Parts: sequence; structure tokens; C-alpha cells
Amino acid sequence: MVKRIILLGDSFTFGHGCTDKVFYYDQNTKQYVGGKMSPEFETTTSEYCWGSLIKKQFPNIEVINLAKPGNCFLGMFRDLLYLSQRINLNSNDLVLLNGTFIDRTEIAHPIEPDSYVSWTIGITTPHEKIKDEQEYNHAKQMYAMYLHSDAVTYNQFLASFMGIHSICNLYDTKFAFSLPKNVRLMGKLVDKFFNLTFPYIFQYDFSGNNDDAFNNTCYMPDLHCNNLGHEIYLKKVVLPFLSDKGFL
Amino acid sequence: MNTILVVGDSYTYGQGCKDRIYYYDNEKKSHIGSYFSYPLYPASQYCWASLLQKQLPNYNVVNIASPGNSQFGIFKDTVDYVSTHNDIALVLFNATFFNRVSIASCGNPDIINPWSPTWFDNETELNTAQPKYYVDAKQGYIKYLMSDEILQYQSIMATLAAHSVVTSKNIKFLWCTPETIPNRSVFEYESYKPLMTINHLRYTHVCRYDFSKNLDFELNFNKYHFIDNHVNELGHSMFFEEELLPTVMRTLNIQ
Repeated sequence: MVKRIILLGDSFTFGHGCTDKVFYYDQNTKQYVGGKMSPEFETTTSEYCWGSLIKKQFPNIEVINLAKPGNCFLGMFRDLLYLSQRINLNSNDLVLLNGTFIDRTEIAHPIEPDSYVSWTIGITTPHEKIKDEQEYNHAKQMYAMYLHSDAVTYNQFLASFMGIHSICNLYDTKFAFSLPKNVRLMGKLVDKFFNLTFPYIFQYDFSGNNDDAFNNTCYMPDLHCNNLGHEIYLKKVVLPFLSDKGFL
Repeated sequence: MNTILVVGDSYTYGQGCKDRIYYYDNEKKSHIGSYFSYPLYPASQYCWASLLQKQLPNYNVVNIASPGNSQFGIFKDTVDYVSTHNDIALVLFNATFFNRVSIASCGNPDIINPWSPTWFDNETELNTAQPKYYVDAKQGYIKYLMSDEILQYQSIMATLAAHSVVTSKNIKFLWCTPETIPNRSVFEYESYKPLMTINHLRYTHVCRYDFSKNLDFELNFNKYHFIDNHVNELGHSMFFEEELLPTVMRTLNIQ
């Protein structure tokens, strides 16, 4: 049985969409609903996400949820790297990598260039504080059009995945992962990882019989999973997987 | 299990040795020598990997280093080779400068090309025919999107990832990085500290080798480096004898 579970992930693992982490743009009312996407919003994960639910159900297991909205694979690598410098990772630890979409990467922060932000390649959003916003967004568009390709992003994804795996190996830490349906590890090299994977929460069939009406009750309008989705996912996916692999 | 795989950039390829001369002469405003690159042309016969092959005839030393290679490119070379070959005993992972990035090739996005923002200061890049949109995209990237910290972490990640890929197939792994200066630890640089976990597998990068043994940088450069700063055949030979061969023999338990 593991003593500590470390979660890496994005908004889906963070619990964006649960009642204490609601924030989305309502297309009908043309207004934002819920809290506000801010550093405060992102400081703590939802108390209703599946990571927090493990903590409640298994008080002897420490759960460190490092997931952040918008996180990319490189960010997850960095999250684990920083953690490995703060605490002594060991064989009683389990790292669960809950991946994200591979078209996310990191770029320099538009206001503080020495810092960085996660970016979904191709997306440009208004930045009121940026002096030369037009040029900044133009640079993003040009990058997306001419310097980016699927081959480049897949290679970055594979390096991030194997980088995270390497940190786990170096500290003899257990490792398992889930990836969105459209993100696949390819090639012979990754055969050994297939028994370490469990279904990803986004697009999971919560009903068990592809009942769209029921599945929709597990999502918020912005397609993040709500409390019910997290509860079912924990019960049907996470706990059976952890138990089957001897982690619980 | 008798292949030794060598991956890296121009330093590992042997650019700067007498059979692999290619540089831009700022005074003459032209390139000197011929452009060589793997796989069209094999690495220099004078580079340390070629010397290793001569020294260890029972091993097959495969040097797929390529001039200009990026850190992600070197990682990809490693993955591609290791996942398609079963006879590898050792991988020598020669990392490159952290600011080398992978970008889509101009006109063929399925091909990944290495590129360094520093090449914009270099006449070579300015003299290469590229569409304006491609150059604009690169300039926009440098001005607004690039961050040294991100690139440093990507570099560390690629090295750790290669380590994981290689060792997960029970292949031995050694590595080095040019992000050092002689007589100083790479780990004095804060962002490189994470690599401490595999420091026991590290050897000195050929471009940072202190040939003089007393930090005489003038001697190091004038005698053992070519004028474009690549290491010449004399440098490769000394590096091979003193640093590389003993490390490889120790790792492979060769008496």
C-alpha cells in the first residue's frame, strides 16, 4: 500500500467544474458564471475532485494534488521536478500522471518575460495589460502557422512523459497514468507502459452504457466534470485501478 | 549487445576535424569548406566516436550525431534508434546547448528541424534563403514567446527522458552537456541541479574539456579547437584517450 499519492494534471484533475471551482463563459447569457480565474482560484484544488475524495476516504494516505488549470505536459514535468527537490520521493509514493492535450506548451509570460505561461497553440486571447498586444498575438499566430507541427508537439509530449517517468524511476517511485482519448503513446518503446494506464476522466462514460443523457449530468456547460462526475470516476475507475495494482 | 550508440550535435559529429571543415569566414563573407551532415555524410574519422570504434573492434559504434542538432532532436534520435534495435550495450548522450529548439521544417511540417535563436546573430542564418514569413515567425518567437528558463527545463527534461528510455530497455547510459565550464560543476547553475540524480553517469563534454589541465583557455582554444570553436582532431584524440575511453571501458567492464 502506498503512503503518498502525487497527482499531476490540468483543470480536470484540479476539479475545475466542481461546486467550489465553477468558472465558465455562458454562451447564452454572454456572461461569466461562478468564481474568477485568478491566482486565488488556482491556489487550492477542489475539495470535491477525485484527489480530495481519496484523501477523505483514506486518511492514512497523503494526497498531493499538483494539478493546475491550463497545465501542459512540460508544466507537469516541472511540478514533479520541483516537488522532488522539496520532499524525499521514495518507493512508498505513487505518481499519477493525468495528462492533458498535447497542443499545449509553455511560452514566456507576456508581462513578465522571465516567467512563463501555459499556452494552447493557436489560441490568442485578449491581454489588456500587454503594451504591444497586437504584435504579441501576431507572434503566436506565426508560431502556430509556421514553426509548430504535430511532429514537434508529439516529440515534446513524449519527452515530458518520459521525463516524468525518469524522475519516478530515479527515486524508485511508483508510476501510473491516464491520457485524454486523442493522446496516444506510439511505438514499441511504450509497450511496457500499457498496464500502467487507466481511463482519463474527460469523455469517460460515467453511465457505463453510453447513456449521453446521464453522462451530461456529470459535466458542466464548459465540459469540465462536476462533483457527480468526480465521484463516479473515483468509484468506477480510480479505486479499482489502484486496488488492482496493489497500490491500496 | 554490442552496439554503442552515440548521439549529439556537431561537436560529436566531429565538425572542426580536418575532414569536416565548414564555417563562415566573417572577413571573406563566405563559407569555407563543404557542408557535411549525417546521414548524408558519416561523422569525421577523427572524432572521438570514430576513435572509439578503432579501439573497440568487437563493438559496433554507431554515431548518428548531426551538426546543429537540438536537445529534442537528440532525444528523438535516441528514441528512434533504441526502439528499433535490440543489440545496444551503451548510449552516449551528448546534449547540446539549451537554446537549440525543435521547429517545423519550412514547407514540410512533418519534418522537425533544429534551430537556435542565436543563429540570427550569425551570418550563416542570414545568408540562408528562407521565406520572409518563416523568418518573421522566428523573430516573433524570439521577441515574445521564448524564455531561457523554459528552454533550460526542456533541455533537462530531454536528458532525463532519454535516460528513462534507454535504461528502461536495460541499456547503459552515459551523458554530458556543454552547459558547463571547465573545473566548475554543472550544478552550480540552479536550473541544472535536477540532473544531479544522474551525475554519476556524466562525463565531460568534448567542447568543455580542459586540454591544458590548468584552465589555460588560450592554449585550449589555440591548439585544440578549430577557429570556429569546434574541437579539432588533436582535441578529439586527447579527449578520447584521457576522458572518454576510460569512462566507456569502466562502464562496459572492459579490461
